[in-house]
Amino acid sequence: MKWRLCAAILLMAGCQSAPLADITPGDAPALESDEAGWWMTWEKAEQEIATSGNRIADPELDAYLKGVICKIAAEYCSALRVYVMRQPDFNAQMAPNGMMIVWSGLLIRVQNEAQLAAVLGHEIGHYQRRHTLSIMRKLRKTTTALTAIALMTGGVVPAAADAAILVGMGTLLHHNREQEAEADTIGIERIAAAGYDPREVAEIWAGIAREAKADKQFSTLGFFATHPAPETRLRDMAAQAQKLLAPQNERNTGAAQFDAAVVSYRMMLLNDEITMRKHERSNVVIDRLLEEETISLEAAAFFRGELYRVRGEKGDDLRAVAQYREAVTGAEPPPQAYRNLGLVLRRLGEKALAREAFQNYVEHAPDATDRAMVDTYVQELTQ
Amino acid sequence: MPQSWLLPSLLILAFAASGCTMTKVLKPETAGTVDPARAKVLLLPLDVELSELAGGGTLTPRADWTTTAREHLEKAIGTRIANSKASHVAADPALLSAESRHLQLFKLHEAIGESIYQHQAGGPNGQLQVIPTLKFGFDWTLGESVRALKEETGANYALFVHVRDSYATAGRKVAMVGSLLVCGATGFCMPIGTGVRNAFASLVDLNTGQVVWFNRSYSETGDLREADPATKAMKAMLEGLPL
Repeated sequence: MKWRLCAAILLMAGCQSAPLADITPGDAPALESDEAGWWMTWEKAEQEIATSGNRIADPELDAYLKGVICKIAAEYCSALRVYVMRQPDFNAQMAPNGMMIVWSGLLIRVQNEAQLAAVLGHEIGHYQRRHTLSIMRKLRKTTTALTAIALMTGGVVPAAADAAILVGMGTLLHHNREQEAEADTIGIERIAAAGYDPREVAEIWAGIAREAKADKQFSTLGFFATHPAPETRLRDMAAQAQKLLAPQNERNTGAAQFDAAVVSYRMMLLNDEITMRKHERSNVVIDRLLEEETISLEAAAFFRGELYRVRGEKGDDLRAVAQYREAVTGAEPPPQAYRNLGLVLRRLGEKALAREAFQNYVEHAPDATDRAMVDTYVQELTQ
Repeated sequence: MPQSWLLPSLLILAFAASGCTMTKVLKPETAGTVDPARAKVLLLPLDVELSELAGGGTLTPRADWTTTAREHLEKAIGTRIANSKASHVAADPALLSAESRHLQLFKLHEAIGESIYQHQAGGPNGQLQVIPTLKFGFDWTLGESVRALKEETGANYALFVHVRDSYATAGRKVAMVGSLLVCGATGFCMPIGTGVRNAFASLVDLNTGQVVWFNRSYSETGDLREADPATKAMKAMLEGLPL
């Protein structure tokens, strides 16, 4: 019974669809096609994205990302548009009409241009192979097949209809994971062809695996239902890199170019990361930035202080104080470290120390927008 | 062959085929009356999307149908306004380009329109989502920033129209009939719906930003891809429009 059901679903939903041809640069789909329909809805979504308050609309950053895209996919250079959204997670998205979305959390998780290019190349892979269209067609066929099966069997054997749903959804998820693997391969091939060191791709997944390991909630995110596990991708990418590695590509990571493009954003992005309230995972992000020496020890201490302050478990306030104190030992201490040190000390009832911290803040940031509030605290703590 | 299920099935089928159209008009209690003779109505680009409803219930948007329907509806609404005492101001498509500041106003209306639609006017397929703590009458405004639109276009009212419609494939129709037959024969009843139209429209006073008229319409019949049914649908969508 079961295999016959599977066969029925595969017949109706699976095997008949041949892989789609690659998208032709500059071609728009025929108006009466389903593809044109999806483009129409994505064009509207793109207008929303372009004018969204959540967008980081920085022409310089956009131009840098576009430059990397054109370097690894010259043929699609004019067909793709990239938008950076202020989303503190690791992700990028590709719409079938050529809109690419980069989540800001990606920019503190990839370590150099080679890694960034691999993620962008992965997204280009989805675009090139028209993956969204393929999954939408498959979904349509599968649900239609499931309805037919439910009608044919449901009244008599309801369990059969349930089994069919499981098989059908499994087919879809499998298809999705196949697409992800294909996009991974396209990404790594493209960066190798553009002269980057392909071994960098495995580093992305090593980082994500570290975050996933630190944060128990991480693995329950929907992301891993449709994407291969980071460890698997690490292994696959490392193996592919060995085949693709050319001597002239070795250690060509574009680290300096990447750093120059994102350095002015790092503190903001780390502040955003803190707001996610995912203590363990954020600690991994800070660790990795420290290891690659893109943030100072003092900056790292400040953000660890922040992590303790927002978590607020037993003993965290004292831990936060210790981190903030370390954060202000450098040549150019971040003024916020003084302010937040003051906040935590005030919470601890250390009036004199809190007042001193707030006064230090005002001294280091006399034009701060929250000056009036901090002055009120100083007054309150003087009484 | 048992005949007992045949009659009920046919009755259900007949009912399903007949379809229905519902409208719900809302107006603020405090609004002054609209004087059609002095109204210059800006018809904003229609927000239309037509989709194909497949056997399993998935919706696939169709660009060609959408384009045709938008043309029919724009023409029908234009004629409706031209036949009233009000004058019609055609909207420049550039008004809603990504670079235009008015796009934000359009997005604001979308949010407000959706809220009225979901929580006060019946929602999709008539499923009203009541917010228990939201106890006020019909009182919505886009704010005075709408005046920028007035200054640029010379209109004193703006008409926003939002339409989502879907049409069943042959496979879906077969599934509908099949489900009714199975339901009658075995008692296993799987609700399989047909394509429906959910639309809402609002008239906004460009001096105050107030929504002075709102109408939700729902229909299971009428093909927007053809001129005559589109005109008929437009009449339902603009029912009670104070112009």
